[in-house]
Amino acid sequence: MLPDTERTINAEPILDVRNLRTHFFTDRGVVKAVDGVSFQLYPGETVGVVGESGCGKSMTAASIMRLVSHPGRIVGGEILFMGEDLVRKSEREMRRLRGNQLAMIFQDPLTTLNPVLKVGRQITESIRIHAGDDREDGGFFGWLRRLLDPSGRISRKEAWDRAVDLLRQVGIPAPDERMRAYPHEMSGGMRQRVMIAIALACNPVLLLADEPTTALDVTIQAQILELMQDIKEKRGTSILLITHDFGVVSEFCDRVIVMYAGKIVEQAPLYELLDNPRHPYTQGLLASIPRLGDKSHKVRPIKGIVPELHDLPPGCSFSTRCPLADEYCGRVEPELEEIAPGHLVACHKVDATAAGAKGA
Amino acid sequence: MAEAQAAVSAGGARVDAAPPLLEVAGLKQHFPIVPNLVERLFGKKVRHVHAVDGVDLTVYRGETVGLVGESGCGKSTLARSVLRLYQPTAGSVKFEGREILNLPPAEMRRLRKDMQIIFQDPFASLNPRQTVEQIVGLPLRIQGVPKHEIRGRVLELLEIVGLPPGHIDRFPHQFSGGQRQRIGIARALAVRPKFVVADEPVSALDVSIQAQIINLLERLQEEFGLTYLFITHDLSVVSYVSDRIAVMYLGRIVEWAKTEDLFAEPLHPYTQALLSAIPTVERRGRRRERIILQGSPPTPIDPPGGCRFYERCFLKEKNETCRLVDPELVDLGNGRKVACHAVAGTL
Repeated sequence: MLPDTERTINAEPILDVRNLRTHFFTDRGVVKAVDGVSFQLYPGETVGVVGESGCGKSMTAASIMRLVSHPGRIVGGEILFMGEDLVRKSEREMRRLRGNQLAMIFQDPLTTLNPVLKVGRQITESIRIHAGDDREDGGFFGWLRRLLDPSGRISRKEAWDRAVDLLRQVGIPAPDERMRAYPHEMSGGMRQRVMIAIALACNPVLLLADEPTTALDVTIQAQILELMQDIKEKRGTSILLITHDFGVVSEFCDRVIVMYAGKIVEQAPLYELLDNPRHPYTQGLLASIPRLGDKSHKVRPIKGIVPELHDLPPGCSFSTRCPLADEYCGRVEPELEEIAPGHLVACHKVDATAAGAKGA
Repeated sequence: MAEAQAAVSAGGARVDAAPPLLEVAGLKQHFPIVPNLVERLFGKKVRHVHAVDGVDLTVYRGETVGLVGESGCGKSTLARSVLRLYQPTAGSVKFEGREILNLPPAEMRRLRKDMQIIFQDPFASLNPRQTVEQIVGLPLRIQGVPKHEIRGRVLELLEIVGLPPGHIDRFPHQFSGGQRQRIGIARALAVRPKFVVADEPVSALDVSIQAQIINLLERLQEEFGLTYLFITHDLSVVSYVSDRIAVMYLGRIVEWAKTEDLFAEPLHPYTQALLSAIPTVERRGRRRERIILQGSPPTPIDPPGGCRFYERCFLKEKNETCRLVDPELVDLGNGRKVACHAVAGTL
């Protein structure tokens, strides 16, 4: 694995999010779910996005996939994916990208798989829609065009064989039989493997994983993480992993982005972040996790609760919960600044937080 | 070593001196799966989900016993059976030395004052149409506290759990997840229980809020001398709050130990795998080798004889004995018990 600085010189980012803003226009006001988020993802890299519920991490992923639905809207910024701006793509162009170069796996495989279709059908459908033929649009004329020109279309048999092979790759025993099972006949871990198989069906360049193991038991979570590690190594897929679990991040990611109230508050290579967290929020998060088998380490919670997104405090959003905040923090919003190579922090008190880094 | 020995005997002395607050023996909770008429015509038999299948458990006054295991292992069912929210199929549950499984309803109701439960989901366990006063006041009303005293008592409870007293007339939806869990805790504490079952009390909460609730539960334990049965799938949390831990797998307790011992040296292969599977925040260069179990737990519907972990067990020593003979929970001394032929040397 290349160190972060080398990679930036050598490679173009595969994903370059610039000042992304996704807002929701609700009756109670404008909810700035994602508010000026910028980051890059390099080929073969795994970046973790952590934060508590409502911090905008899932909405960042949904925005990249262009899956934000009403009343939400991407109101600004650019999402450069292999040099092309996803924000300006038409729905049709996006559909061609999703499932091909861009794939996503979600938290709960039971709600994302269709309960009335056998899993084989769901995987082959995805293969047949995306592979070889990009005239996936429905309706009479789409059907007619496909009928008149069947070239480039994958046969049912071929798609079936590929699906069986995919299930084998994601470690499902007896894949031939499992193809004929309904989602409810499988365990949670198996369903998540099916989701991963669907996501991998067309060899995506970028995989967005939104809490892929949160609904699973620890021993199953370990299996899924190992599978994802394997995929990453064998295929060189770049992964954006969204999670609330610092443990998962520390076992799986190269770089970490910490979000709070719709903004990135800290971003650093994994061990830099764990050894030297500099944003008071990151420090607070790390201090509030109990250590396994170590009772002497007392958990220290962050006081207060995450503010409502439609009613954020002025200045720094974390100022109301921050132990270091003063009057200036409550007035002026801090910018992300680079304090070490690849280590960005958005905090006015960053000089004072070095002491807190040790204890976190 | 000497230190460890001393600690053990000190702990042992405390444990031996007082009779247990809760004593569960051979508890079984089976749920029948009744076939429908057509299936019955084709000769299908009633099968049973062996949710809890022969569990012994002792909880001493003032301690916190952690109950861990993966979903479907029967940990929540065990807790509910102990509180007699289900009528157990077999076994005995003694609370303060008194058998409670055959108590008449009126007496059981009186006893419930001493045993309360905190639920996992603070969204589902609070009635959305009731105010905080009604929710927290309900157990008081049931226990016959006069009406005019209830509001005062509720205000007192809100202060104890760290909620602003001004929120007494609010509805659950006006609170965040952490605050709702505080309401649930206030409700459990309303009748001054001795024994509280906490069923995944922090699992639905964000980490920073989790820590607030854990600290609150610890403070309340000290203040009111509570005894907790703490159920969770999160081993970091359980290792933090518990004095002793019971590990469950498919309706059985497979290992029992003091928290420090369990984490220092897990004996049952399942416990070893469970501990190694947890992703932890590790500093540079401290990534561990992990045991990755194959497959998922078998179904608890009419489980086969022999060791229930047999299919997934990775020990080289496993053999026919494991497949055919159900391992007993063997006492290894020092408060450690384990149900494994290989560890107990009964292969």
